[in-house]
Amino acid sequence: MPDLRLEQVTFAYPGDVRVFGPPGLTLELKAGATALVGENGAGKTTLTKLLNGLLRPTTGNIVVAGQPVAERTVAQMAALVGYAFQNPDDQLFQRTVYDEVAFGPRAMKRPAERVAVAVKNALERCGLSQEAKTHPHDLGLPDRKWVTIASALAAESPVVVLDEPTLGQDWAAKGRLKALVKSMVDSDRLVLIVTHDLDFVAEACSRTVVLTRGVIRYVGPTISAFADEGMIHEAGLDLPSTTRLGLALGFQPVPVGEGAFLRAIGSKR
Amino acid sequence: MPRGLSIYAEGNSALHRAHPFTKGTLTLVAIAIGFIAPSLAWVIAVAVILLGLLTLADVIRRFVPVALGILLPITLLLLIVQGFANPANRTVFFPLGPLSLYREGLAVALLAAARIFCLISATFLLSFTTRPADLAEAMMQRGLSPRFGYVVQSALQIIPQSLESAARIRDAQRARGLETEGSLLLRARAYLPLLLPLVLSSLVATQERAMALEVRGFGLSVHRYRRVVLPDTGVQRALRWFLVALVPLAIGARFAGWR
Repeated sequence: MPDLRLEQVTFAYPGDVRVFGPPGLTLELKAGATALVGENGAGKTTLTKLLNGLLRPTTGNIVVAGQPVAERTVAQMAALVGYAFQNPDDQLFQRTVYDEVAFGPRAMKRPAERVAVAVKNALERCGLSQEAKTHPHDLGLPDRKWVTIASALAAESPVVVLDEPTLGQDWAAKGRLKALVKSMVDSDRLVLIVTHDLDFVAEACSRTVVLTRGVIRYVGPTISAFADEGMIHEAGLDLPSTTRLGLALGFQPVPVGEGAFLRAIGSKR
Repeated sequence: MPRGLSIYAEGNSALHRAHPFTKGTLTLVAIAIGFIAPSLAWVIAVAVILLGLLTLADVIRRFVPVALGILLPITLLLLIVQGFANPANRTVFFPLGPLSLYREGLAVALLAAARIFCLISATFLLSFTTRPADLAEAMMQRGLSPRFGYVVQSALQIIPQSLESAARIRDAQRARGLETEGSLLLRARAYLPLLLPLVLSSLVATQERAMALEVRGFGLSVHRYRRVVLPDTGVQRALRWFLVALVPLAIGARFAGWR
């Protein structure tokens, strides 16, 4: 069973501002790291907000982890879809990082022991254990972003949405993020990463969904998505640097990610 | 992107082209006359003139649903409160079991509702036909400090920006399991997680806005050139004086027995 299924989903904001028109979006995703890419205004964030009921589709059905979204409130969906928003300051309000990360599981009325374990685990995996008692607003923006990622993690949901997780992150932090995504995938979760950072996609996401102007242009392996340079450009993006370099050097197949590029270089020697 | 707290409707009517001060004067005078006028018939006459001007400005279709949305609940409340409980109630208009609606109270309610209608229609006439930026610019051209002009304009932008922030914050907290709908207690509990990020982000935005202004030389004491020059003709000035003169005339008429 797919972790996520959209069936002919159409959506328009009030005032008939259409984002997904007929015949609607149809999409199935299973556990793994999937990138959701597209130009600004393509509908990426709208799509993710449909997954937890923050927005309701005009027509069509959405099923997450076997549960129809239409039959659940947003608060109920929080147990199924962990969501790290783009701007951490939209959610931080507790006095400590620990309480901030614990807010979601507590709101879901989970037992205290389970909350403690989930929070400790999330803080460790996000490199925030030393900051548990720090006020979130005493942290820099990149670390505040990690607090929101830890919050999404602590929900222990089968689906995790990370909206622009690499924004403002340095190289080392991106490496930690890649490792975190891999560990979530290893625990059989679906990680949906909304991003413009195709270098990160190349490193961390095995699958990619390309959304342009409210239409799904591509769903499949990232390596095949990056083989279609025209489609990537149409989505307002550019290929990862290693892939562009590989193309310029005439490598076939086109290398996706540093590892693939280094292997391609090695084979040429 | 926030549109700003403006309900300006694009148009090229005489009212759209009029100087903001002329429209502002018209608004204030219409409201004043509406409240000075002694009877329902006179207040309705002011309301009819305002409706005519709204039609002339081609904004009547936008005005009607807004006005009804505001006026209907207020009128209903006035009719109930005044109709049943006005101390001057003597003449039964409509008996309702143990209670009765009284003619005197209903008359007071209708007069109040008509005056509120004048207030609403005059205010919307100004709002629909005047860009807030033009109003602030007109005030600055008459010597208002650019700092105050900025405060006026930024206030009009900050409110919708804050509303957008509030919506984003609500989404972020709901996505973490916060119940924001349901009983009063549930909603009260949701207050803190929604309010604190909003206050913090507003403070940060205010600081950033102030810094952005200063680095662009906002505080410099230099001669400022006008972005736009709003035409103000002799006819418009005369019209403003005529409108202003109507207010003391109306007050005088009331003292002289205008009924």
